[in-house]
Amino acid sequence: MEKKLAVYLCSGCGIGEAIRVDSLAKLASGELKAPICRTSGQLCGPEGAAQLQRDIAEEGVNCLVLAACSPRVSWPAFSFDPRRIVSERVNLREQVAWSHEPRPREGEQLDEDIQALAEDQLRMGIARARLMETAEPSVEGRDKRVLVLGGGVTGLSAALNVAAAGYEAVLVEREEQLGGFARRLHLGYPRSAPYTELAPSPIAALVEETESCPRIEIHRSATIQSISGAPGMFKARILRQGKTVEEGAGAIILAAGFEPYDPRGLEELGYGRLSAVVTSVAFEELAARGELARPSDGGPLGSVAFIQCAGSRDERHLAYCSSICCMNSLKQALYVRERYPDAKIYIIYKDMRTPGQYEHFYQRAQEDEGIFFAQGEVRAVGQCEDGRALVELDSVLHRERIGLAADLVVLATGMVPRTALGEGPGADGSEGPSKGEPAPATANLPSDIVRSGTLNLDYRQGPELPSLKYGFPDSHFICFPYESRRTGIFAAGSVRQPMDMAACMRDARGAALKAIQCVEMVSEGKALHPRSGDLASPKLFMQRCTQCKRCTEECPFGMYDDDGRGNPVPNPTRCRRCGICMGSCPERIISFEDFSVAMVGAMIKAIEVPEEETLRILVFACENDAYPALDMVGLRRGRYNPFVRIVPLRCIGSLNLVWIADALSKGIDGILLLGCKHGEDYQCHFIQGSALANERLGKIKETLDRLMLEPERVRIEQVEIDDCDRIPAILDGFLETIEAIGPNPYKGV
Amino acid sequence: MTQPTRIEPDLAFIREVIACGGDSIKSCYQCASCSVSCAISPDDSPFPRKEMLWAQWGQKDRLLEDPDLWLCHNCGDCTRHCPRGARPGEVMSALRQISTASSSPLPFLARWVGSPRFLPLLFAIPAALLLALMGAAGTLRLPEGEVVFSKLVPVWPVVDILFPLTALFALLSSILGIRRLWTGFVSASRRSAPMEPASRPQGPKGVALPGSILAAALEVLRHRTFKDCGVEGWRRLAHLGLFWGFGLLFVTTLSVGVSIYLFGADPPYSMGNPIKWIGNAGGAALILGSLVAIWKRSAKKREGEPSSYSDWLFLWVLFSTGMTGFGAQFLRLADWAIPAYSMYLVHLLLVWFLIAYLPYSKFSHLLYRTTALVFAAHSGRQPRRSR
Repeated sequence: MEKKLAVYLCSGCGIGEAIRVDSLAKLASGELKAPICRTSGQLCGPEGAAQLQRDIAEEGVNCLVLAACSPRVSWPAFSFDPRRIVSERVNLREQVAWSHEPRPREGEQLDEDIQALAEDQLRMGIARARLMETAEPSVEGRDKRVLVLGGGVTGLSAALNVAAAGYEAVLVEREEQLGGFARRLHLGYPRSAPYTELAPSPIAALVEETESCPRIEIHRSATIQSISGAPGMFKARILRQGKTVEEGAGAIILAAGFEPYDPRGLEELGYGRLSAVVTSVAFEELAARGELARPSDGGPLGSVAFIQCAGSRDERHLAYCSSICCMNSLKQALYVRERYPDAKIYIIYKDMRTPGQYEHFYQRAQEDEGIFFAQGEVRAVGQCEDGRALVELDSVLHRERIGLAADLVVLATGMVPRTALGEGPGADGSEGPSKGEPAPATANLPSDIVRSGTLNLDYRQGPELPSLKYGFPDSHFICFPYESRRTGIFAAGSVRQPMDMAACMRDARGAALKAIQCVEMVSEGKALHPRSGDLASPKLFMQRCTQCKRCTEECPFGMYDDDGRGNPVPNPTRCRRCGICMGSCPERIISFEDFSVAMVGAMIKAIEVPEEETLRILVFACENDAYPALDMVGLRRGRYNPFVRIVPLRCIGSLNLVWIADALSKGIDGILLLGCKHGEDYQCHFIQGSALANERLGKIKETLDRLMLEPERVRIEQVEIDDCDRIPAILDGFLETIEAIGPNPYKGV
Repeated sequence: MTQPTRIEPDLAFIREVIACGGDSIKSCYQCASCSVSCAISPDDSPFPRKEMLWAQWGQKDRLLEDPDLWLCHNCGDCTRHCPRGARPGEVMSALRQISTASSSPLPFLARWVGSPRFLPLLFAIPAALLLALMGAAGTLRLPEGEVVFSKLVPVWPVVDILFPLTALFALLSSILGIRRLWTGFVSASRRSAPMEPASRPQGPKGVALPGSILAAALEVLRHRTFKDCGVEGWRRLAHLGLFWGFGLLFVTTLSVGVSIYLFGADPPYSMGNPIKWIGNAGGAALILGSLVAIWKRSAKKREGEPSSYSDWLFLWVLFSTGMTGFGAQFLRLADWAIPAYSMYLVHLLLVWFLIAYLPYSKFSHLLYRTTALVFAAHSGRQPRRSR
C-alpha cells in the first residue's frame, strides 16, 4: 500500500499551554519528514474534522497521525474506515499536558523534559503509523443460526428470544419432553409485584410457545455427539433416536441447567437413615402429585422442618450458595400451610437469602403464625419417642440447643451445574484444581475441564468449557457474564451460576442477544469482544514457523488447532485479537495489520535516548485497565515524572520479550509493565494475558544476565482501572529505583 | 446444655395472643431495640425481647412462668422504637391478660371479662343477686320520703351479705392466683436460664421475703418505676390518682362499716363528716385519674397505638364508678328520688364488678405485678434504674 502520511497537532484543551506545539510541527515536517503537518486549535471541532476529510479526499492522505487527546475519547471525529485508512492517535492531552506541570509563564525557563516527552510520543506514533497496514478482515463464517443446548426455562427462553429477534434457533433437548427441571415443580414463587403470592410455574406456556414457533427447530431425546468448527461455522452432530443429524450454527447457547446435589452424602442430616428425611426436590414432587401427607399414616401433616444449606456452604459438600433454596423452602412452607392450616413449619437456616423484592415474600412467611424461623447449626437429626423425626440445633436466638419434632424433614439441597458432572477435576462442584487434589493422570485434560458430555467440542483444548470454580463454565469476568472462554459459546441460566427461574429468563435474553451479536459480527469479519468491531486479524508468516507450539498452547481461546506436525492452524473467528500469540512467538511470525512486534520495536527505536544522565523509562500499559487509569491521572491532574514513554498494548500478554532486549540495548534505563491482576480473581480481559506476561518476565533474567544488567530494571505491576491514585507513586517509585541503580551503561553505545 | 430443650410451639396459644391484641407478634425479627429502649428492663436477660421470641414460638409454659411479664409497666417505649411495628408493649399486655386467665382458678371467667360478648352477662350476675336479696328483704319498691339509700338497699341483709361474700370470693381467687403465679416463678427460676450469657456476672443477692414485700409495697405506693419510664410523666400522675383514689374509697368503705357496727352511726352522714371528705377526695382522684388515662389512650389510639378491650373496659368501669358515686350523692342531696336511687343501683353494680372480677380483669395487675415485684426483689433481679 502506497502511504501518504499526514500529522495533525492539536493545541486545544491545554496542550498549547503545556508544550510548544509549533516546534513539534517543525519536528514532524523536518526531522520526521511528514509530507503534511497541520496544527489546529481544536482538531476535534468541525473545522478540524473538515480539514481531515479534505486532506483524505483531495491530498490522498491515507495514514493519519493525530496528536491530540487520548485514543479513548473523541471517537466520532477521529474514526476512519480501517480498510482504507490507517490512523494512529498520539496522546498529548491526558498523558502529557494534563499529567505534568504546565509550561512556565513567558520569560521563564521552559521545562524541556515535558517537551521531550511530547516529542518522543510523537516520534513513536509516527514510527508505528509508517508500519501500519489497512485491515484485511477475514470473513469465514456466515451461519446466523443459534444452537441452543437444553430445553428448560433458560433454553426455551433463549430460543424464543433468538426467534423474536428474527433469527433461527436449533434447540436440542436430551429428554423426550421440553421443560427441563421446571416441569417437576408443583408451584413457583412470585416473579412479579407484590412478590407475596405463590405463582404457577411458567414452563407450560414457554413450552407451548416454543413448540409453535416456526423459527425454532426442536430436537427432542437428542444429545450432542460432537461440535466442530468456530463461530459463524459451527457443525453440530446430534444423536437423535439412534440417528445422527448435522446442524450448522453461528453461535451456541449452553443452557444445560443443573442437577440437584446428590443427598447421599448427607447421612448426618438423616438422609437415607430416616424415612422422614427427604430432599426439597422429592418434597416438591410429592406436592406436585398431591401426596403431601404424614409418612407414618397418611394423615395431615402436623409439622415439617426445613433444613437450609443442606450440603451447601460447606467445604465437605458444595462450598457455595445456590441462591434459590431459601425462596424455595419459603414457597414450600406456604403451600403446606395453605393445605394444612394447623401444620407447624420450622425453617432452620444459617442466613436467609431473599435478595431484592423477594424480601416481601420472606416477610409474608414471617407473618404466618405457623412458620417458625430458627437460625442455627443443626447438630443432630434423630427420632423421638412418638416416631417423628427430631432435629436438634443450637438456636442463635434461643441461646440453647433446642429439639424440634417434625413429621417430615426437608433438606434444601443446592444446585450442581450439569457441566460439573463427569470425569475430571472440579467435578461435582468441588473446589477447582487450585485447591483440590492434582488432576487425575488418566483424564489427560486441561486442569479446568470436566468431561461432562454436554458440548463434546472437537477442540484441541478439550471437549467442554473450562471452568474456574465448582464446575461452572463461567469466565468470571464481570463485564462479560455470558461469554465463556470459548468464543461464540455462551453459557446461560443455572449452568452458568446458581439462579432461579426469573433470573434464568433474564439470563437467556442476555445470552440470546450476545449470540446474535456474535453471528452478526463474525459474518462481517469483526472481533466480538472485548475488542468489539476490530477488523484486523492475526496473520502468520508460516515459512518461519519452528513448530514450537507456543501460540497453540498459550491462546486462551483455542484459536489455533494443531495440524499434527506442530504447525498452528488458525480458526480466525475464534480469535479475540488479544495478541497473546504474537507475544508468545519467539520467531515473531504473528502480526496484525495495526499491531506487530516490528511496530512496537520501531516505536522503541524512535525514542530519543539522551547520552547524558537523563533517564528514560519505557512503560507498557494494558489498554483495558492500565491505560485508562493513566488517562484518569491526567483527567484528575495528577502528576508524575516526565521521563516515562508509554506504549499501549492491547493486552499485557502480547508483550514480546524481544522488545525488552531492544529497549535495554538501546539505552532505556528501566521498563515497567502495567497489567491486570492475575491468578485467582484475575482481572485480565483475555483471561490469561497478565499471567502469561508475568511468566514470560520470569524468563527475562537470562537476557538481563547476558547484558549484565540489574534485574530491577524490569518490573511488572498489577493495576486496576480505578487505581489512578496509585499510578503516580508506581511511576515515580520505579524512577527512584532506577535512579538508585544508575543509568543504563548501554547509553550511547 | 447438650440435652436439647424440646420446643413444641402451641399454635392455639399464638392464636390467643393474636386475639388478645398481640396480632403484631409475628413481625418481630429480634433486633432487641425493645429491650434496649426499655427504661426499666434489667441488664440480664432483659424483656421484652425474649418474651417476643417465646410468644412467636408459642412457648406458653415459659411465658406463664415469667415474672418479667409483670415487671413491665406498659409505657409503650418499646412499641414506639420497634422498627418492624411488632408492638412489643401490646404483646406484653396480651400476654398478661392470658397470664391472668391461666393463673386464676376460674379461667373461663377471665375469658368472659376479656370478651365484649360477655359484658351483659357480667353485669347481669350482680343485678340478679342484688334484686334477689332486695326481694328477700322486701325492699323492691320505690321508698317514700327523703332519699336514704338504705331504704331501698338495706345494709343488712342486702349490702352486708352481698359485698363481704363477693370480697371473699375475690380474695380466695386472688390467693389461689398469686400462689399459682408464684409457684410458676419459682419453678422457672430453678430451671437453667438459657437467655443469659454464660459469662453473666453474679447478680446482687436477693432480699428475704419480708424485706421484699416491704420493698414491693413501697414501690407500689410511690410508683417509683413509673417515674423511671420518664417519657410518660402523665401516666404516673394518672395512675397515682387512680391508685390513691381507689385506696381512699376503700378506706371510706371500711370506715363506714366501722361507724355502723361499732358506733351505730348509720349513713347518710353529713357533708362535714371526715368520712365524707375522704370519700369525696377519693372519688375525685379516681375520676380525674381515669379521665386523664382515657384521654391519653384515645390520643395514642389516633396515633396508631390502640389499647386493648381489657384496658378500655377497666378504665371505663373505674370512671363510671366514680361518676355514679358522685351522681348518687348529689341526686340524693337534691332529693330527686328516682334518678338518685337508679344511680345508686348502677353504682353498686359497678363496685361489685370491680371487686368480684378483680383477679380476672385488668385489675389483677394490682395483685400480680406486686407479686412479681416481690419475687424480683426476693430473687435479686434488679431493674435498670434511670440512667
